[in-house]
Amino acid sequence: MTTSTQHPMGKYLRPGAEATTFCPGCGDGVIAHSVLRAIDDDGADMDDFVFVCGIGCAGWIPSPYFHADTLHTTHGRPLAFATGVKLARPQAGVIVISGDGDLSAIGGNHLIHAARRDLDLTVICVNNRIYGMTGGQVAPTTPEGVGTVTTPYGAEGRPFDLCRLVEAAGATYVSRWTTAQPRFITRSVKRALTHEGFAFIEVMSQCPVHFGKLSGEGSAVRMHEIMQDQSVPLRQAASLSPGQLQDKWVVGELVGATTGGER
Amino acid sequence: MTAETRLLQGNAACAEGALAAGCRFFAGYPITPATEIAEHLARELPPRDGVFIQMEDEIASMGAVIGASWAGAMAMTATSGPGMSLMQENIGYAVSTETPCVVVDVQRGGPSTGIPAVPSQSDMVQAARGSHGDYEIVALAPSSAQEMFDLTVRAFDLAERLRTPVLLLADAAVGHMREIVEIPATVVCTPRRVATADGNGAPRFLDEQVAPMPLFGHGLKAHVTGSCHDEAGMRNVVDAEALDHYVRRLSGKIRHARDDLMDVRSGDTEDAEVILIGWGGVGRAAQAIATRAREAGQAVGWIRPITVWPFADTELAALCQDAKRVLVLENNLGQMLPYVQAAVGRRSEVDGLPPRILGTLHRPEDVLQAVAA
Amino acid sequence: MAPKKQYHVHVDGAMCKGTEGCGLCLAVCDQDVLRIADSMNQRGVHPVEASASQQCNGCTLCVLHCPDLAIWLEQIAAAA
Repeated sequence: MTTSTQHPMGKYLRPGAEATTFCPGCGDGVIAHSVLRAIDDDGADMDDFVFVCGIGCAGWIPSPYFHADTLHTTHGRPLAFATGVKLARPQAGVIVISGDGDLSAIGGNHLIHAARRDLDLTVICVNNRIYGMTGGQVAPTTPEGVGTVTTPYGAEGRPFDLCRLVEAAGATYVSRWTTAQPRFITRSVKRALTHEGFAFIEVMSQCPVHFGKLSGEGSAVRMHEIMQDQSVPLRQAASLSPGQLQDKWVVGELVGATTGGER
Repeated sequence: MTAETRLLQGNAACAEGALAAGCRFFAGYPITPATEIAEHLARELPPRDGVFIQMEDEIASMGAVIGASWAGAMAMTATSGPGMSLMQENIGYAVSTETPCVVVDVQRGGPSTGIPAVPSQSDMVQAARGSHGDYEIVALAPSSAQEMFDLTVRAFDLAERLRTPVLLLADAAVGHMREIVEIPATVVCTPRRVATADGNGAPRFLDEQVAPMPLFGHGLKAHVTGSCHDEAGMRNVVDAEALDHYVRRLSGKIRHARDDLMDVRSGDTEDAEVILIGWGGVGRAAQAIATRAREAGQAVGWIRPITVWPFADTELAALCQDAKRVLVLENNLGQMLPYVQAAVGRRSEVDGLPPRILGTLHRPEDVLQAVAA
Repeated sequence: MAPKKQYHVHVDGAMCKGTEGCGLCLAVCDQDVLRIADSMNQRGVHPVEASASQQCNGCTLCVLHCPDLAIWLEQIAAAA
């Protein structure tokens, strides 16, 4: 709680920042807030970090809103650029924030190799299951059958399970949350920042304007409700059958949980 | 003053030049005929507290070089034609964001996979126009193992002075030849100008006089983007005026410095009737053949541009103004040729001359026959 | 019994994108603190406003779920 008349996270935002360019109801803002809360809770300084982001709506979370060193890269390549930053300046906390298309389609090769190297990076993958910025094209994470603007007859192929993908590639901290669990996003970010190695946090995020409309999930409020219903905490998931877990998202710290971890 | 004299492969000389200039970060991907540069630096960077990393591909290599540069390192990569093609998007990013770095292209036979170990001057146009959009690139062409050392140093110096990527266009012959290299005790390389926190709104980008660089880790909260941006680095993807400003300023920065960049070697041009122009390794052949022709009593001169981009149009026009004919020797089907034609074609007859067999050296008898024709 | 904590719920109407596309804060608040304002902001949107701060129990769900960082709580002196 605060007695100032400014949003408590306002001090971390670039001066002159007006209302964001995110669509109304977009999950990006929730994630931005959750990340800043982690930094604030830790008493960290924005100058301790370098934010690296790719092309797509999620890339606009740190760029331009975070008042910190920010590297807004070419599409799909933030992990490659981040590798250079971290190796040349190991003392920097390098945080990559980018979308599912940027990180796993065009950037897929860099994703698996960055995970393989287990380089000390914190990666927040904003997964809205669509290409939002360019108008609603299919992504590697779009559920089968969804009619997008480039799959008008229904998306084909199983969507990636990004957490399993990066775990298999070598990531040593992997967690998944949705924007319906902002406090847990914050907690995972804090854990990822202390984790020495490749830390990957997937956040399922609502894109009401494109995914919501195309999939029929609907408004931001409705998508929020669906995310709550679709989330199954890890410990509970252990006692469910694959059939029961179909179309659900297991949320929690999936790899590298610290002791006394998730419920 | 020479510190030591070594017999070095061209690629090794390039690596040594990079180290002498202060390069302490290399990210690259194996590709013939450039791989020796990576191998040399893989051994020599760690003992100097430098970083070597083999990335998963050339796109990642160029990305890592840019990231490292923003983190404060003098960074480089080395590749060949196919890898250069992959790097182009990120080279454009480096131009846009004014990231100092060096990209060595040891050219090989193309197009496509072509022949990896055969020299070719395949990338003259790709060097200037391989990335999309309007931009100016700086590119130097070495012709010897010594120049692989010297021009790599110069490339870093220019990159730091102009806050821009600088290309080194070598080829399989120059990269793989072994020659005596004189290594000086010290080299000159302009130190990077870093922005200060009390800049008082001083530009961080888009200054034709070159803005000091707002490096990461200096509390400057730099915003670096390949999107159209303003002097503060802030993105503007709405206003055409912003794009106009961004494009013109970026190109203007290089054009503003053009005269300082030019290095064009020449000989026997004043009374030459025919002038042979060649760049890189072929430039050595042009000089040798012109000299041989002179000794045989023919009025032949030679020109070897070392700075190949920006293009030395005014310099060539001045040197060729009284020549009847200009023969552009290139190990390709004529990539510098049209630019020479545009620069000197009004006064001289300009023809291109590839080697009889592409991928091999020009034979003196073939060139002299063309001269006589 | 300790006096109930009191909050002033701040809503920055200029940052709010309204309830047609968003409305997350209204959806998560179960204390009827918020409502749609009659006024319109510069963006042509009716933002949310806190009409009943005295009903706020400090759960912060509105704060955490607002994508526009438009809502925050200020703890004020508890009523006697």
